[in-house]
Amino acid sequence: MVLQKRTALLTFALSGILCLGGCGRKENEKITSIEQLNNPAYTIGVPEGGAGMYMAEKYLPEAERKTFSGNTSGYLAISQGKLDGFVYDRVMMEFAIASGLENVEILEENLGESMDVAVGISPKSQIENLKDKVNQFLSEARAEGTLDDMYDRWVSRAEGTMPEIQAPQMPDCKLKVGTTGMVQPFSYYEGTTLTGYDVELIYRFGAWLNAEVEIKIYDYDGIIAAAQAGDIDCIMANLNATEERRRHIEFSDCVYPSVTAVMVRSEQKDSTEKKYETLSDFAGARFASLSGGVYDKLLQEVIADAEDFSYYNSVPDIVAALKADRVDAGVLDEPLAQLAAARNEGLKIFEEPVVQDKYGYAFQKGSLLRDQFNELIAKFKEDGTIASLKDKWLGADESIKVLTQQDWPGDKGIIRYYYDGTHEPMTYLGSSGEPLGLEIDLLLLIARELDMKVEMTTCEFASLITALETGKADVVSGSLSITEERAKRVDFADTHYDSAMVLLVRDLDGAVQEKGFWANLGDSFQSTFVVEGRWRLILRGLGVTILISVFSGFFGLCLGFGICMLRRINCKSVQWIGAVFVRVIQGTPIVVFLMILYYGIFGSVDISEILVAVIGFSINFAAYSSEMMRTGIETVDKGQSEAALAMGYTKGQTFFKIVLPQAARNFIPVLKGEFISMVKMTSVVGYIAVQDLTKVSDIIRSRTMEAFFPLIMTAVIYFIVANVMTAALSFAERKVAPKRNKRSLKGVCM
Amino acid sequence: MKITKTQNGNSLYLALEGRLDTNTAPELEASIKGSIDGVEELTINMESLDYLSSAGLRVLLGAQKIMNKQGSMRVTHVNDTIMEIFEVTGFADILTIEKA
Amino acid sequence: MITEKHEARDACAGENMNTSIISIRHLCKEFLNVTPLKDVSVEIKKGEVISIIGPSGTGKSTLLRCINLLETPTKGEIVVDGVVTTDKKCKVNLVRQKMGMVFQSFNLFAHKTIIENIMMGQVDLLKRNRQEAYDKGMELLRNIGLADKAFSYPDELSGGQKQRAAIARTVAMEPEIILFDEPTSALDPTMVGEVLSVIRGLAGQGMTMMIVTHEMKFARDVSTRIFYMDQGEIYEDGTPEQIFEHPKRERTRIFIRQLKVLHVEKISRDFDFPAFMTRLEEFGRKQQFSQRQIYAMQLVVEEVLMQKLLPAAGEAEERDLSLDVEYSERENLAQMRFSYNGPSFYPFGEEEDLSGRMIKGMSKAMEHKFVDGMNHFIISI
Repeated sequence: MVLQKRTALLTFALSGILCLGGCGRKENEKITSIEQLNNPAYTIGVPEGGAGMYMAEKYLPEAERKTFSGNTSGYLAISQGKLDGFVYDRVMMEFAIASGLENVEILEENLGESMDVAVGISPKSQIENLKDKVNQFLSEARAEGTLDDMYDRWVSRAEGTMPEIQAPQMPDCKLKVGTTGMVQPFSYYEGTTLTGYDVELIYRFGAWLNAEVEIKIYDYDGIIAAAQAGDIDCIMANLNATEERRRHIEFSDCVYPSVTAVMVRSEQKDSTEKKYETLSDFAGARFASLSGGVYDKLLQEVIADAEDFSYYNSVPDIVAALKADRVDAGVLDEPLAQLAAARNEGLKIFEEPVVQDKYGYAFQKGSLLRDQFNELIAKFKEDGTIASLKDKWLGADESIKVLTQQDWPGDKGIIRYYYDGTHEPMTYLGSSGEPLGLEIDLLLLIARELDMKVEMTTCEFASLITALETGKADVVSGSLSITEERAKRVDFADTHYDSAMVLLVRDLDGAVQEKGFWANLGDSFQSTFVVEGRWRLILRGLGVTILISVFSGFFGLCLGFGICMLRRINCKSVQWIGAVFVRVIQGTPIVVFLMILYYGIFGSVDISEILVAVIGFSINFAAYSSEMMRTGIETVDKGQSEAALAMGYTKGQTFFKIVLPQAARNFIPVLKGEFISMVKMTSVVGYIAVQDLTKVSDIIRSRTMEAFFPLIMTAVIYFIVANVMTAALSFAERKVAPKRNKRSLKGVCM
Repeated sequence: MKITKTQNGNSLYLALEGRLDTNTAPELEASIKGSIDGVEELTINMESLDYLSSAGLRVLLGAQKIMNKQGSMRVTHVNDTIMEIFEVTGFADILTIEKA
Repeated sequence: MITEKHEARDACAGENMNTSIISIRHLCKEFLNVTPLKDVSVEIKKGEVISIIGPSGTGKSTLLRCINLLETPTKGEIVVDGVVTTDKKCKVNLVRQKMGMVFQSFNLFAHKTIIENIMMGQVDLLKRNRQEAYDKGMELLRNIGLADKAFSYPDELSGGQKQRAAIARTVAMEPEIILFDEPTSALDPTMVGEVLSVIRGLAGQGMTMMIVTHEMKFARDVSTRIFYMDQGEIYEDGTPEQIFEHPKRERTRIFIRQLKVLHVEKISRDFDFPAFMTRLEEFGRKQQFSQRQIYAMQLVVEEVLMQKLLPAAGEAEERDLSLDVEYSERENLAQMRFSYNGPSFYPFGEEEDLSGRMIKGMSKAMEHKFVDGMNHFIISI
């Protein structure tokens, strides 16, 4: 009865606390300008030590400020409504949104003035005149236009490809560079590879300096300390050269100026997002289309006030703009739109087409082929061939998009076919230059029926009709619309594809909301493990965790045993040393201890971080295990050793044969628990630049922008590792101290 | 003292374990009085009884008197020392004693 | 029977008359706030079976523990088999191999089976091979009836079995002398006998032994020599007959007497009867009374004290009531004497009531005296 009452009370108290926590979040009005935030009622997040922090102090002094280390936690806080605004580098925030950060938007105004991003230089670097060398390198690179090109590739166009940079064959020094690996597009992980603007800069500088490059990963907090201590020579991590930082390290000349912006929550889309019912609703909307088309004119004939057009180079760019809410609709040919909708969740084709369109194969005037084609096209429409071709070429599954093989004799002749290779999905070229597309596939099927071979040639769209007229081609295609004008010059077959110009829009009441828990889970799983082969990164991190745990456990145990024995020696001062050691280690938080080792004791020594971690954890484990062993030994009944001594065993024999085995039975279970504790404690080694499982999970989170799933997965992996290790230890325990079923003795016949 | 009571219709069976002395005699008395109604056959097994004093004898006497009106009573598995007590005090004639 | 054994041993002793295997000279042991051994000097010869008796806390165990150096003497010298063990340079562990010790708390090695316990010392210290050690161990276990427990662990055995196994472990080392430190004190009374019989067997085989014990009858039967220890020294040293029958010195006499007498004073209504019943039982067992005698004693206490004397004394405040129980071996009689002041009072009155009949029937004699205002009611069983 008492237990029930207590449980009820506890539940009540907990829910009360949760409610309060939830109620605490104010429902503030929508933020539309930066000035609005300059008010004590609002809380803004700022990066520790970064440019944003200074700008916020200077320009938004009234607001309540919370510091965050790095960006990921800041983004999360904003999207969960814990902050009203987050102040950070504009470029990085835009990339975050493009990567899938939801429910946020960036205010148009910039905050404050731009601040230099520069290379941080360690005052303790072994390389002479490093700062001058960096500056020289930068000015050369700027003069050659390399820096601009890099910025263009990584930031403006978001290409995300690292060019080949030759590493020096015979380096004459070593360059250790620190970076963070968690800020797209400057320094981030694609799969298991570190890439980005700053990373390219690192390799370039390394080559220029003729140095062997070693890259170390730190969080923003740790990276300054690392440079100060001389663990790294320089920092290339989109580092703002703030006043505060200048006190500790030096900076090169400006690499590029960074602009600070403010990210705020955007309202839930479905409440203020306009619901489009008919085409006319699109009046005044923002449109996107491919450059070089004539869509704007056509659209304006149908939709009033369609003037806001942005032009993009490719369909994926339009898709990104739609997702980021920079445009309201993309204007595309229906097949292209189909492809985009199939490949992207959250997008759909607006039901009403803008303009109907028919595609057809074109023939020379009076060609006999035309009637043959018409017959077959009609047949294929009826028997569903064309429908299945549509499924094949307009779906998201790339693997089935292969042309029908020309395996028939083709005695009846050859069809010379010209096509435009840039009209996905109708006619286009694959990654090795092979022809692909619905129209080509259909043509081949027709040719098979006619028993004719097909010779294919690519051709510019503008020249397709000319190719017919000059007799070079028998038939041409390429999403060719059947128009009256064209029909004057060529003969068209009956249309094989009813197309249209359509609007690609965000699917509001569609997939995202419909998705159930399991589907979301599946997506999270995909992005955490599968995309870019991230599971390899996780495996690497896991390997580091296990390595540190096992080695620390082993050495810690040996050292602990040594300390335990030391404290049994009769000399008082020796015992005292042992006791003090244990007290001190037990009283120091493991993070602090690791940092003392890494930045302090081993500060100027070039030593592997993993080795430092192993040393740190070994000492820590030794302190705890020596205490456990001591207690275990003390709990063995004194009578046991008295009996042994009385029999004539020496003190040493008594200890090792009688006392220790019994003590072990007492303390081994406890040690197992302590070991598992240590495995979990290794999650802090990220502070000293070790990429263990937890750090890797952070890196992945900085790409996927998800909070929940990667953390849960990390916890699950730790849980599994801990249990596997416990089972292994129990197994070893049973081997060493077997339980009670000895019915036979070795060396004896009974 | 431990009293194991078994009732079977109108037969009451009590097995005694331990010591029947001044402290424990009231227990036995209460136990008998509580179940004696309608009992025609009362059996007291003394196999595990280590000790018996005058207080115990008085309770046995009381029970015998009641059973004389309702039916019969017997005492079984009596050890030698207790048997001697019964004889010396004359209880051997009052009680029905069975060795087995 | 006993005397025959003593004769046989004396014959052996006669041959080795001059061999003291242990010589103790002016042994003194001081702790911080107590000095259990003040000055002990004695010679122990081969084949002797010495029981050490005396009140608690008088250094009996300490003496034993100094002999095998589990305690370090503060002063004095001990020579074992020609080796001065109190010398700093002495290799103590080697000397200890010649002396076995049996502990009150058995101290079998908990992590090994019984047979392993017995084999360990032989293999590690005497360097026998495992087969030999095993055979010897099994033989010893068979002799004491524990062969079927060879592969059990100590915590699976009863107290008596553990102690017997501990003795076997000691014997396996073939020591020159075995020291027993209160071997039966931690045992349930029902298990004492089995252990004592094992010790008796060893004595019969001529093993030199020193036994600290509270089992007086046993000490008398099995020993060749008794040390009565009191006040930090061997107060009196003699044969069992000398010590138990004709103690020479005052304190010895008091002690011996107390063995045979149970005395309780100032009995009032708060008297703890159950505890006293247990004391009576123990006393009876020590004197090796029969079950019937013990029963009779308890019955007397219940009927006379509880039923008669205490209720009668109820009203008066200061009733000086005491009981003495004394055992006379010669007459094989236990005499229970109740002494109380007040008017002359015969517990069983004139009538022949139930209690009276019981006591009359179970006792050999009853007597009431009234002298100088004190009643004396004596029952002989």
